[in-house]
Amino acid sequence: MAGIGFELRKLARLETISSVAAAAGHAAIIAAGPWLFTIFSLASITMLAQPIIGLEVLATFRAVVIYAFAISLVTTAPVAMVATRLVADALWARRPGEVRGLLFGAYLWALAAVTVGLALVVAVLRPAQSLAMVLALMTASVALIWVTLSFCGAVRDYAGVTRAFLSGLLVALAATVAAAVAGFEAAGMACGFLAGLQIILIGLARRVLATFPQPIADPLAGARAILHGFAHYRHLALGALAGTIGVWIDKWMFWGSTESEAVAGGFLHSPIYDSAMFIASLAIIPSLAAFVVRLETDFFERYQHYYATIKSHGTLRQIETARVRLAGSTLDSLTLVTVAQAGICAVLVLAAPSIIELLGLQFRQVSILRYGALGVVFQFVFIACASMLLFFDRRPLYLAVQALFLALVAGLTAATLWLGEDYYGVGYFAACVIAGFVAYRVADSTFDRLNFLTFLGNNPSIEASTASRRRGLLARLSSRGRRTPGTAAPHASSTS
Amino acid sequence: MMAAAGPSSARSLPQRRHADVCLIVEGCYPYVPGGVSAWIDWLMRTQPDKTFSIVVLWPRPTSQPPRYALPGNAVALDHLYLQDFGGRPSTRLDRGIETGALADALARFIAGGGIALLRAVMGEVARLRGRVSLEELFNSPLAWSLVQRNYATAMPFGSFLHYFWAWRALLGGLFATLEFPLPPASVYHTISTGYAGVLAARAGIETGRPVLLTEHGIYTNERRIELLMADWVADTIDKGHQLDDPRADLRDMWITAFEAYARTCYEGCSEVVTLFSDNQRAQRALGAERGKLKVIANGIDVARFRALPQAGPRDRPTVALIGRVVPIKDVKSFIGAARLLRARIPDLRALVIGPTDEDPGYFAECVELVEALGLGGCVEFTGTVNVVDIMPRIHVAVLTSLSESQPLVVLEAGAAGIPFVATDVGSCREIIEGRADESPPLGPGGIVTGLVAPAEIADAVARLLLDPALRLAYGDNLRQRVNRSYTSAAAAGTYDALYRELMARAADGGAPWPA
Repeated sequence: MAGIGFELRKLARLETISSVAAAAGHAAIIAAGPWLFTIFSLASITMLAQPIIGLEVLATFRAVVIYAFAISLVTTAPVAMVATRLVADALWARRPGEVRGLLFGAYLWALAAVTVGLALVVAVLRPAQSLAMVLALMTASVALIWVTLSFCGAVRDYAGVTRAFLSGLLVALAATVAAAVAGFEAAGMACGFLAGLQIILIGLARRVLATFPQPIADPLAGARAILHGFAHYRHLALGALAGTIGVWIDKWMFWGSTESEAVAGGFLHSPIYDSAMFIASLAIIPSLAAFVVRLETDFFERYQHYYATIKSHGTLRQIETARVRLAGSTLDSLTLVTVAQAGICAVLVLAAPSIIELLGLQFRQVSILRYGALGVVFQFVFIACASMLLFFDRRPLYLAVQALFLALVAGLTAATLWLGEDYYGVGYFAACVIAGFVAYRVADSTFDRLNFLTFLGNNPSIEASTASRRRGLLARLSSRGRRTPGTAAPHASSTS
Repeated sequence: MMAAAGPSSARSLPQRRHADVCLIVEGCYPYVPGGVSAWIDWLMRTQPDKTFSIVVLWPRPTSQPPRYALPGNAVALDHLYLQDFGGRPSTRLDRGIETGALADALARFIAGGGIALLRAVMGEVARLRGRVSLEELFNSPLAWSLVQRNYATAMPFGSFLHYFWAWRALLGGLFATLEFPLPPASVYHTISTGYAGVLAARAGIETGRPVLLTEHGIYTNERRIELLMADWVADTIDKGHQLDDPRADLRDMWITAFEAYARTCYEGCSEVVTLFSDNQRAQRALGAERGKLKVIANGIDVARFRALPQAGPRDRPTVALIGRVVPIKDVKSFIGAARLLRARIPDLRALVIGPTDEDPGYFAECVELVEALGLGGCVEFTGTVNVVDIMPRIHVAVLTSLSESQPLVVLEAGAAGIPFVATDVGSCREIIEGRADESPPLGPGGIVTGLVAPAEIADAVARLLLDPALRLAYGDNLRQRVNRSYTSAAAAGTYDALYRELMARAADGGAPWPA
């Protein structure tokens, strides 16, 4: 029978992206959370321990914690992001047995990554040995926490995460303050803090291990899978790396500037910039929480409805209606939360002098706090819109906006350092404004062209046909000259 | 007529060499053994004084080994991949390129077909090609605007998901066919309608050379059967009992498109050849003009069978079904007939000769049926054997198929003088009873029965088995008919004459080959 009818079946399948891409979107939101934990716990410890041990020891302790968090966040961001996506892929393909192996593999890569980061920092700053030791331990622990956290995100177990963090936070506060009361120096306090981190790590890991009880068959399979994942999801890995560096680069630049001081252990910090910016950053917590809640309820329902409409053979008009509903509700949510965010930040701007006074900071930090608070409004828009790109699997664009954010923060912070103290904080603010608008434009156009992107422009099935051609070319090249004997049966002429 | 098994490959040959005949084959040669592929191999080998180039239409690049070695007179073999619309999708907005005219032309072509509409599509494609490559177009927002326009006119109430993929498959194949660089040749000979037929029609338009079609099975019917059996094509519109519901569904779209392609091919060909006259009804229904229609039956090498001894009256009475054990051959009806026959001829032997591994489930059912009917000593599955070895033991040959085109086994049995009982499918009646224009009439070479009719088949076989004189007479009639009308040499001679005529026409009529 001559003809190519039999090939049509394969074309009727839709390789869907929705369920796996969603996990990465969630992860992007959640990834913004960890460094907020840093700031919140440090602010609490500062307030609790300052009367007991004095500013200098506290500054050293704080520096150890901040360095541990900064190093681990930046170095593990690509690992956590790629692992999240691989977990989502494994769950989508109904292979939950791979999750433990991926967790173990992600641990290995995270530890390797923080080792490199630590080596650099220690080589450059040469801190005291006891502090270097506790910094290493803390960095490794925090790195494992971020990785485990991303696995919790993949299964969207927010309640378990919150419980682990709350109990760990309480233990950390209690142990650190107890160490301070007992007269231990910064390294001792850091060990107390480490105890709380271990509680968090164990709590999170228990959740993941309990959800995925299947044993690991090949101890290195997960690590190999993640290595492969770095290549396949390079946009995700690099985007997460750029985004995380973007969040820290302005602080690093201040640490390296004339505005920096060295604490007792040898760590650099910038008292005038750091504390003001950290307080401003806290203002994003309620908005992110509110946005995650909106995502979980309204958005996710409409998101799934959109893809379900396509898969259940809706007409183009029905698909378009679902798209309009999805786009409308998401923009509504974003607007609503942004307005609330603006309100919070307005309060922060107005109350800046009082806050500075209450926390015993310097008066010249008021304007930095104000710029930081204004920047946070746009940083929220940026984070929310960048996560939307991941929900619709626009990975190269995600990398592009994160790289833009990094470049803007770095470039404009350098400019403000050059311009002088009156402009401190303006660089970060301006970077957030520009990056926020760009991300919004890109997310908006994604919603506008969602039907085109889903079917054609961003459809992995269509890319796959390109890949098949490349494979075919390879196959043809490798089979050239190979001689295959005919396998026709001698009887075929009579029975065909 | 099967190619000799041996070292084979689509060896790289110098391309763009002018050939006397360009064969256009879809979905068979050189990767699928038997059937049409074997015929193509036979065709080239029986025309040694002509050169051939071959265009193989295949879904996408394959690592399958070719099953046929190219004959020495084949100067080129090119692949046209229908479903390989590669190209990374582009998300750039269209550059003000208006696709409305192309969308209209495509919609009208897919709905109706014909040379004028194909010309219109080719014109629109040529107009766009200056600004954007088809590959780029096919993976860009331009394609998106095209598919939305076509969907709105074709089936706005159907599943868009299915429409989208169907549209890509249909249009991707069509674009690939329109883009494919035609190999230079004097005559274009397509072996089916479908995309191969569209390419042939395009060759006719572009080169002015004669175009010839040899259709074995009717392409549109085969696709229709495939679509009816395809459970993945969701019936997304509940049409209920209202049969005149104008809303088109996906199956309608596919079938409409394949019919449009066939119409285009029939119109573009100067000769429409098929294996037996019954096929011509379907061809005429899709607009093939009566004057173009021709029958050139397949032939066999009768010398292989001529000298075979015949089963005698003292041999155990033997009836044989020669064919693969698959549902379309309806082996179960043969087993049913054997049960009825054994009641009248107790020492009957009923052979099923052919491979049993193609559909193991069906084979198991057949074996079970034989046991359930207590036919253990009577019905025997021989598996694959050389028919020449087994024919001297067969008194009557049987074919119970539900569908056939021109079964060679009837010719082979006939050449050996074995009378035939066959269902009324394909060209069985024509071979067994003779064509209406046979002169002088040779008389019946066997008996034609209805489909799935064990009792009728048993009666026919019994008549022949129990009446040696009738059996010998029918066997002789069939042998004479095969020798006269169904020899490989006769078929090859007909094609030789046809090619010569068309090549002569190309030499004085066709446009010069564009440089």
